[in-house]
Amino acid sequence: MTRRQTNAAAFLVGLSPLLHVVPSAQVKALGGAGWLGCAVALPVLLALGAGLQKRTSHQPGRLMSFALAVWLGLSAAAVLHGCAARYDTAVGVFRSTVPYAILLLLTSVPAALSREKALFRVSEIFLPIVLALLAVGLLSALREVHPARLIDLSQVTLSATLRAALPVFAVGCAALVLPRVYAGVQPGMGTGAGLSALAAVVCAATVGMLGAPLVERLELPVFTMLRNTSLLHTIERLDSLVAAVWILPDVTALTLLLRACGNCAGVALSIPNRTQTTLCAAAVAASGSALILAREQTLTPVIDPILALGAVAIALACLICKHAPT
Amino acid sequence: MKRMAVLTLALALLCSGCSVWEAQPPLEAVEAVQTMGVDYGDGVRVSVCTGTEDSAERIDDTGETLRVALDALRDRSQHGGLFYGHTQYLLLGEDFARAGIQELLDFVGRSAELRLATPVYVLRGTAADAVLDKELDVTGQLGAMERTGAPSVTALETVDAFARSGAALVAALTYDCDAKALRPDGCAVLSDGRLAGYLDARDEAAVAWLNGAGGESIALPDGATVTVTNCKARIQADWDDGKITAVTLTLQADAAVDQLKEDLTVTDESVRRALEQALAREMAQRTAAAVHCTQALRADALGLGARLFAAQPIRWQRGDPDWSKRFPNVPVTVTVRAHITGTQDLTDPVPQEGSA
Repeated sequence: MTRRQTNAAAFLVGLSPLLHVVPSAQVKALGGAGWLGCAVALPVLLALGAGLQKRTSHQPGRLMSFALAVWLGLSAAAVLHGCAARYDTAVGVFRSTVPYAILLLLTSVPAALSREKALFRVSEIFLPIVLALLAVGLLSALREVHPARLIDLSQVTLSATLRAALPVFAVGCAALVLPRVYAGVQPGMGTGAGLSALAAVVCAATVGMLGAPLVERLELPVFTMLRNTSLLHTIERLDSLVAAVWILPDVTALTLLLRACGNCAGVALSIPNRTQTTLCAAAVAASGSALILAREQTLTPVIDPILALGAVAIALACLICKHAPT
Repeated sequence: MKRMAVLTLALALLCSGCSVWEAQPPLEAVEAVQTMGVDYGDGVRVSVCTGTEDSAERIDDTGETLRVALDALRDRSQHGGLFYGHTQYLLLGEDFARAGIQELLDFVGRSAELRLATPVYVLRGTAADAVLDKELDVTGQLGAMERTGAPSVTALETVDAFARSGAALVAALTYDCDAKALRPDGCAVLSDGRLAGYLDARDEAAVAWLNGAGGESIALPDGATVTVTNCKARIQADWDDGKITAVTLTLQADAAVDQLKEDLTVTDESVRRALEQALAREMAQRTAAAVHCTQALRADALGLGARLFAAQPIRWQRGDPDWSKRFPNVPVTVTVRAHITGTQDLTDPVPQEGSA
């Protein structure tokens, strides 16, 4: 795997959950100044990325592998449910999340069972497509952005800023450590920081266009922003296109999570057959996703912070422990 | 790698909204709604105009709610394929606006078809009269108005204004049935989601000035016409015991000369100063009239409260501004400083009698 391929895979993995946490969480905490939460995460992620460059990784013990497998399995379930729910809201052809979840699994499981290198090589192709489309969407929104909506600092306190920064920081941490857990390769130090910079821009564009009161009440503010933009009055409704292309980061993230979960479970439970463990991981993700769907109101507020803190804990463990997990 | 790329891209197609499961009408049968009129009376009456002037289909129907009325319309369409996704204008009848537009905005916000970026107008009268009139190219006229810079407010801007100030301004129109023409006619002032009254067409320029825009041409009494090119607005409040007792609005405007009477030599400093004073007087009068109109309607549609909050957020939060109650009675002073910064290509009028 080249460095470029690793960075592309890490960035794609981070892009998938980014639209779930940005800008809703930031606006709830900081109002119009939500972008500040993303910006605060940037230097910390840069420092973390630089620190991780110096740490070599080793095979973790069984207990650590088990803990990692649990976190990865939960993350896979949450990502699967989050993506399926997003497609149901943004596209809504099936009027149910279940077919989307099945389609995602049907694509991700064969990818997770194929060679490790394939995911990294395909990421190098996917990333420019996703970023180019997002750039077009953000550019078309630029004309509608009211800067005055972004300088409302009335809700800015230290605790609110940290609350706004944590989800972005967690996504950055996940992007920095997942390729390491998956294939023992470390993404570049700027990957996490790049994700938080992109999050700040997306947050500013969405809030600047829609206003904080509306963003706070929307399930998918970024897609609402894209639906209401127009590029030179010729291209409209970019939301469908972005929803379709966002399948690329979703599949990358899910593939990586399933494979890594299978690997860790294999070490923890001493099962050498990776195909079996990966299929088990897919089954766990599917059942977890079904459980979240059944009890969404009670489970989502609990699972999201657990996963975020888990990502931060793993990143810190990689940084501090002598035997960082591979 | 190739297998994964192909699988993922195939899935992307499915997730773009392309559907092979639902029976869709053929593309040539789909009628894209261009203008939608919404009226109130025995439920919600929706009238739509599709296509261009000659081939336009104009139909209306009534339902308990907007959604029900739209579904009924879709069933009644002759072509069987009404498509609301390209609705360009929402025209609200006066009665509907008076009953409240919050549910309409809520519906547009939730709808996968209609968009919040759609411009909204309040028609003084019944929207269906204009939308269903076969001799009126309603979409063409609204489009021409939008292109020529007539005031236009989107549903998104209205939602934002309600969230910030509890009131909003929406462009108002009148329908001249004899001339078959829609004409801009001031602004509708909406408070708590309902139409509270109108701001005169003459005074609506104050809205643009407060937002830092120019563009309005003003004929001054002494024979000059000037265009405000740029305007900066500043707002200050007098506080007493945490309460706002008075508000001062200061506008600083730049203007360019468009037209002069023969005897007005703008290069003469005293003439220029007199023109600036006349412009400042006119702008102050119009701005004060707009403020007093909104105060009389008890609707802070100009967003003075939001501007004061943005200017002094800490003082606002520490104090007890109780703005919604105080706003109708708080004295507002308007001060304008105008500068004529340009005379286009010509300085003074060309003399009619030669000196030679």
